[in-house]
Amino acid sequence: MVCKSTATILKAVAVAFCSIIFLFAEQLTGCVGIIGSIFHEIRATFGDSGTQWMVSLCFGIHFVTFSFLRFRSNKITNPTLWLAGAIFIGGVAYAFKYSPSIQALTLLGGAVIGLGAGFLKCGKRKTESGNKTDWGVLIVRILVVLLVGASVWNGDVMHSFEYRSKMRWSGPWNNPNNFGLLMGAGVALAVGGAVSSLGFRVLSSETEGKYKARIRKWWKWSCSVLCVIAAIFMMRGLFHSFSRGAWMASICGLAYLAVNWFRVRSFELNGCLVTKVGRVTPCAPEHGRYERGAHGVARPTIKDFFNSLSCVSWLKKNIFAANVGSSSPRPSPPLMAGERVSEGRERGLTQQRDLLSCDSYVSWLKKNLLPLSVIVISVIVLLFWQFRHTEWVPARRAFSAANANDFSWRNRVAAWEGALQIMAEHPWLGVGWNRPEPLYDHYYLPPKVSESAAIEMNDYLMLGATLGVPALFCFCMYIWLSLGEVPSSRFQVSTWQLRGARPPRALFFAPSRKTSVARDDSEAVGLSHASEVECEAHSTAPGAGALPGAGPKTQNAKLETKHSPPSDWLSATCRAGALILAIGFWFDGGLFKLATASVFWILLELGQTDFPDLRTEASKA
Amino acid sequence: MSIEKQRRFCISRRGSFLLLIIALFLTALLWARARDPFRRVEFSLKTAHGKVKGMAVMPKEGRSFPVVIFLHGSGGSVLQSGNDLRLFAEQHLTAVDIDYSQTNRAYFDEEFIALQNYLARQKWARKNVSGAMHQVSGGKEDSALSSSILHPLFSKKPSAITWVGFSLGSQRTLSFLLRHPESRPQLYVRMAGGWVDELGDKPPENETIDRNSNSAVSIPSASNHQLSSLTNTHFLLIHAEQDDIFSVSDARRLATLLKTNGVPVELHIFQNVPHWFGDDRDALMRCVAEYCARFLDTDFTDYRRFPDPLRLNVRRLYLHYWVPFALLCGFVLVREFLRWRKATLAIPRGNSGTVIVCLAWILGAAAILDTAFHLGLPRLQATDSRLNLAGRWLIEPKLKSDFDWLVRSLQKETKEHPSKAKNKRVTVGALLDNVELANYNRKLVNWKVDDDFYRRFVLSPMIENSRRSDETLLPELNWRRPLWESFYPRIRHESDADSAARIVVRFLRERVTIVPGTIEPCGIETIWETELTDSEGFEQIYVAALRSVGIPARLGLDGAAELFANGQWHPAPRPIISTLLNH
Repeated sequence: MVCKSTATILKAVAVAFCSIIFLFAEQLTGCVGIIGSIFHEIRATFGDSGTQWMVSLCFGIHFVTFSFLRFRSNKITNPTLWLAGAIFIGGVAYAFKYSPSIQALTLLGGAVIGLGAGFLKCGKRKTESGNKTDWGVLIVRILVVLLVGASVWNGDVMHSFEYRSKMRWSGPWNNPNNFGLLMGAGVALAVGGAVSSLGFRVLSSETEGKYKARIRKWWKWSCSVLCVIAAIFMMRGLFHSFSRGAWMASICGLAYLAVNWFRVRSFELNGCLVTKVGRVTPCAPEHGRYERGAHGVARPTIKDFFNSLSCVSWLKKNIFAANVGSSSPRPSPPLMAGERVSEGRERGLTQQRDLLSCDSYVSWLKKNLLPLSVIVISVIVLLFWQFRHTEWVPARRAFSAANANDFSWRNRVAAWEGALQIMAEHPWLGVGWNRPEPLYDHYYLPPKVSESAAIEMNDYLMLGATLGVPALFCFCMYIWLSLGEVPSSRFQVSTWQLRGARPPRALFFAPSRKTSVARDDSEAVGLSHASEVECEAHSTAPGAGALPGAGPKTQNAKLETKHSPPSDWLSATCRAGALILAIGFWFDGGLFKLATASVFWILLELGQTDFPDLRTEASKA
Repeated sequence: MSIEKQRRFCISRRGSFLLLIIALFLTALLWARARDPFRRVEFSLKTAHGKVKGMAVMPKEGRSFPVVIFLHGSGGSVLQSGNDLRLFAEQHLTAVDIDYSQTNRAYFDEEFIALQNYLARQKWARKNVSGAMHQVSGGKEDSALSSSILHPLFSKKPSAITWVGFSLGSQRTLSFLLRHPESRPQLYVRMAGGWVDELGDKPPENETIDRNSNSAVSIPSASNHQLSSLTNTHFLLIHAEQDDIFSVSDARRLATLLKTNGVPVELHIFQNVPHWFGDDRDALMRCVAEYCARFLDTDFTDYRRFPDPLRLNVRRLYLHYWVPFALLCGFVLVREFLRWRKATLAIPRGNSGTVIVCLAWILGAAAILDTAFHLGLPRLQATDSRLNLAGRWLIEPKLKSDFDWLVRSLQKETKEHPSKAKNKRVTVGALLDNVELANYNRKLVNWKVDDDFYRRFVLSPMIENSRRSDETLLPELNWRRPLWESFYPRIRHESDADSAARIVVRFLRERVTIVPGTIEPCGIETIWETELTDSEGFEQIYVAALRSVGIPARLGLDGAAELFANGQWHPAPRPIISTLLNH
């Protein structure tokens, strides 16, 4: 046991050490003393044409190994497949037109780092027993700690950036845009952590003592407070970076997080309904309807739901009251002609379930989405016309994206156009590593643009110009699928589906007796953090929505999953962080810089939802 | 709405989003390609010792063009020659460069022959004999062109080809030319080139240098027979006075030698520039490109029919490429709107929803009106009432006095010269743009100008020309933004007006061709757009360019640009050369 925990600690230290290296390699290279000389040598090895190919080969082997380990299916919805395609094209371009390229190395190295992190996260499930180490959570926490450290960094900078005489913070990096992006990603991780601790409260099980539960509660609260403090620090850094791309990306990332939060809560509510209803057993498969168990109905009301959202209590009182204020049980619908009582009751339950989801604030938001969007856009437009000449630096910076006199965005747009022209002339295999920048500078730069560095700001177009449109497409598909939560196999379903919110076709789930729900007056009910939901895959008639592809072996098999909301929330948080970086790469670049690239790849891989494979689960059971 | 429906809704929305992204990317790709004025052809030549990479740049017009073989200097490469090649291509030429062997002359010969053979096979390389060839050579057919190593097309029918060698490139090409006179070009330009061994022993400097007359005292006899076969080739020698790699005397010796052997030659020596011609290199290269275009053009005698350069200063927007995408966007938006409405039909809006809808209408209308006012009014023609409106609502209060001054001066101008007012269509936006941009630039530049000077010689978009009659002046007042966008980024780090003016004139000459004689008068915007003017037009646009970057400037009594710096008016810096196209 001691050996095991020592190994875990050593592993954690190794992860922390690697994270420090990935994030602060630039700074470490500039150090004096032995550390600096070591990193200097490493950098020289990576940059030298005689040795770089060996490093690339080593990375390539690692990439292949991790890819095989992470390979889940050969469906086109498998992100690893697309990533392998992009890396393959990059590797071919690198091998056939060999010239030392740090960009190529960073891309490959970043992919390896990401896959390694993903493997570390998934690997735990194979060995888990009792207390397990959630490496995903650990990596995220380490990243947050390091990024908070970077946000208060006050060391020397090689080159200072200013905007209207205001110093732009760049932290330990040499670029305020990269600093801003990393701060944005850190904010998303910290906010996600805080919400995770606050929103998904761990409900004590019957066997858990009161004291232990209290300690656990305090621990969660402490985590939340620390996360909030970290988020504030990083927001400060983000603000002072004056990076418009990072600001916009952060807004998008936080919006993504909010949307996911709503989704999780919504699904939790539905899961909660199943829990309260009790054992839901399927009726005749040909009807495909639900039948309530004998435990009676204790339908959660909208009020219960809103009580759980302490942060939106004001909204509940003031805005949603018109729609969802009523907590009285809804009357059963009248029986239809020829309908039996049980069927009518069942139909009522279904309607109530639908109503529950429709009546929620999510539906309210959906209903008012258009007017709300119009309001937001109108306010932004009016503010722009009113304050476009303001001397307040942050507002001026934000509005400078629409300022015709701003060369920053004009040069970028010119560079996008140039990169697209390069792509149009070399659509299939690109121009090769290291060539887009000089080509743009000498062959594509419009006469009125005097600086060509802006082409390095857009990593997607750089990738397309370097490796061609197919490689860019593969890379974008990888990001799309990683951020999009698309199951890579038809046997895979989302965790939320497994929890009963949306039964996949004819799969019906019921909470087991092990699940205990503690209800606090101020809290809504929810599934336990560590709850084990037993799912039963019932035998169904062919064509009635039986588990597709599942043979007789899987029928009546008890599926057990240990996925819980927070672990999904971790993925969503990581995806939000990765989304911020992915958007930032369009405006400011960073895919070919170790600090931003490593964080991006790690978050993207950690953000991939590991959909439980029903076949595996069934065979285990 | 059922969960299953919700799910379907979600998936289709995602699909729509993906579709839009792909459509956006493809449209952008096509649009960017359409906006690209050049076609670039990367090629590699096989020689006995390996492959050589090359690049050809030409206008994207789908026809053949006269070819200019440009060979870069020592340490250069095809990748770095792009700007030079583009300057040639702007003049409707095909410019070609290869990564030739810079160390082995035998290899170079192989590569150069391979290049010429390659060009002879290309459709985009014009192979006919041009009028210039006839003019210079008198239309003589040369039997010496046949060679076993050259492509038959070369041996039978000389191509419209120019060689331009820079530094080492000029050394290699001259050496090659003397050993392979059968492959001679119509025009051979040597920039910063020196003496080569094939010319024989270098004569003593004191025997050949005659700075005033460029005439020779003695001629190396060893090269006479070789040079006599080059009488069909026109030589243009360009050299820097302060060249420390190849002495300027070498260029003079060569010019004398060629002249003595009956080879047509022009020698231009530029003062106060180093071997690489310093910062004036691009402007000089533009002049060389103009010269090549002029030389290879069939209407060589008629300067008024000078072919317009490709218009790169102001490029077309090609907005029609975006119409299909806009339609697709509209379709998707409408579809999503209908779906959204259908999906949310059953959900009661409630009081809060009604309030929000009302608020959205009010704010949306306000935003549209505000935007229409800010974007629409500047596009209207300037009348008193509109200018009043603009002065009240569109201009910053601190710029109001400048705006009023500009309006007053415009009204005065209109009253004094009513004939001019008929021709011009001054918009409100042009005046606003002048005021705002001039003021913005004033804050950025490092030299300060007092208010009176600022208004008269920086802010004012009207450039008085005492030499031209009022009828011929067509003031186009909206030139400030295009000029500022091109010139300001180049002078932003300059601390004084003089050094900024030098940069301005260099870049201006790089972007605008000066044709000899006079051409139809036109406004500054037109000059900038067409990239073609005469010397008077150049002075006008020069003054405008100086004003656009905040340097007080005017036209002097002699019609030349003057600038105000260090408390006095003095002539503005001149370009390295106004034109090589002398009569």
